[in-house]
Amino acid sequence: MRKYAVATFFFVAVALWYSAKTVLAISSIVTFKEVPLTIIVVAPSPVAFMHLPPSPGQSSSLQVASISSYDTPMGILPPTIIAQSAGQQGAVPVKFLTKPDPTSTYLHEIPINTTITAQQGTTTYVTCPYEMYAYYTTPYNVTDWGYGTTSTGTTGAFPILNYPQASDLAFVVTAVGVPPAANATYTNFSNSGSPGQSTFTGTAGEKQTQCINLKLTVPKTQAVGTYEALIQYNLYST
Amino acid sequence: MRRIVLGLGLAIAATLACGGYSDAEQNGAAKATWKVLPSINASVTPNYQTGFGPQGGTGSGSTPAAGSAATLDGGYVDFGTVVAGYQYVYKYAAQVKVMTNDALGYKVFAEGTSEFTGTLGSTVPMDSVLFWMLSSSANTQYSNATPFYTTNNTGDIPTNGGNNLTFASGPPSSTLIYSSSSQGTSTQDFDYQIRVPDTVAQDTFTAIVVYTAVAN
Repeated sequence: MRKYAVATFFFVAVALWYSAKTVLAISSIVTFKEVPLTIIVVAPSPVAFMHLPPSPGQSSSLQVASISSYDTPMGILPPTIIAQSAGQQGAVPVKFLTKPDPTSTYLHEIPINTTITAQQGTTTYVTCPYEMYAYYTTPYNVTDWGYGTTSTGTTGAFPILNYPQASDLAFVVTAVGVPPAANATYTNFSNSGSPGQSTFTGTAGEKQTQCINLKLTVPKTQAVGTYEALIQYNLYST
Repeated sequence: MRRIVLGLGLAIAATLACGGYSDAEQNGAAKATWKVLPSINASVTPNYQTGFGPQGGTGSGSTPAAGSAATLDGGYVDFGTVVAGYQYVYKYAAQVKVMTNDALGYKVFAEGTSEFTGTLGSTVPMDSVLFWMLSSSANTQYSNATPFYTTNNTGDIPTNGGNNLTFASGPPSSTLIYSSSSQGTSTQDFDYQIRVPDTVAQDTFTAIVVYTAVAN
């Protein structure tokens, strides 16, 4: 009986050690980058309109409204911008000192066109709005999740939203210069925070640049406006 | 101005009254009119509130802090050291105060006098780097923001707050940052945002944003 107990203890200890080792390996993050996207939601355009003939006795021509904007009592001079005697202007000098990103060697974004315009109630496909470069000396895993997302059940902001709702933004990875196939399967961005999901992986020493192609689904009820989507990419050494 | 016009009116009246066409008493009237030109005064204060400075650069490995050229109520909007490829928001960057007697209010425009220029000679386009937002506690380095553009009036805008600027055709509408339709005194606060390109050279870059207030 005692032998069994010792063996069980030994087995559990080994399992715990291996589990901890695995967790440590997974959690060995090298760096992360945030990729902002601008989403502009617009109202659908009218498909067509019909020009109705004028009713009898009604003119079909539209009159251009005449607007006068003279602001002088005499009404002689057209409006002009007049330099003021004092205090009209002020200035703000702006300054910054740049330094290179020390971890861009391992992971960075290559933006191409990260502003997406889409109509309400439509699905928009965007081919390679940005690329992700990754490299590391050991095998690695690049993961993603929507920045600021949680699984607490709160609604979240369009378009990433929060778990358990599916994100309105999805992606598929392709090689640079290769558009997604017509039947490509898009994956919704993970929206429950860490640990997210795997975007792509690499072998030790592999340098690669991948296109991130997007699919944006805009609900009919989504208000017209400009939205921000923020994707966090994480490089893990495995 | 009003005194001059009134003086002219009185002089004309006196001339009409005294100019002798005959010995008979002459009566006449002169109508004196004048207009009050709209006047406007504006001032801009960088770093207008305690707590000014940059935030953001998440993931860059360094903590942003205002540079030494930034001082409360003055100096530069100095982002300090920023990392290529990252974005930052600068809180309490600029406060614009406008006072006008124009019943129609005013407009305020903002333009860069040049692109960002480095000490080593390289330049960075202003409209791809520097952005503005109406000040809000919710603003982040990723918030929607509008770019500053460099002026089309090259050579006209004096550096750092000169006066008596005359535009040939007015500041372009793309540089309008806010307006008011009433007279009086008002203030508007702004946060700035910087989006540092990946490929930017390692250097110190500077530029000047000029605010111009125009009566409607």
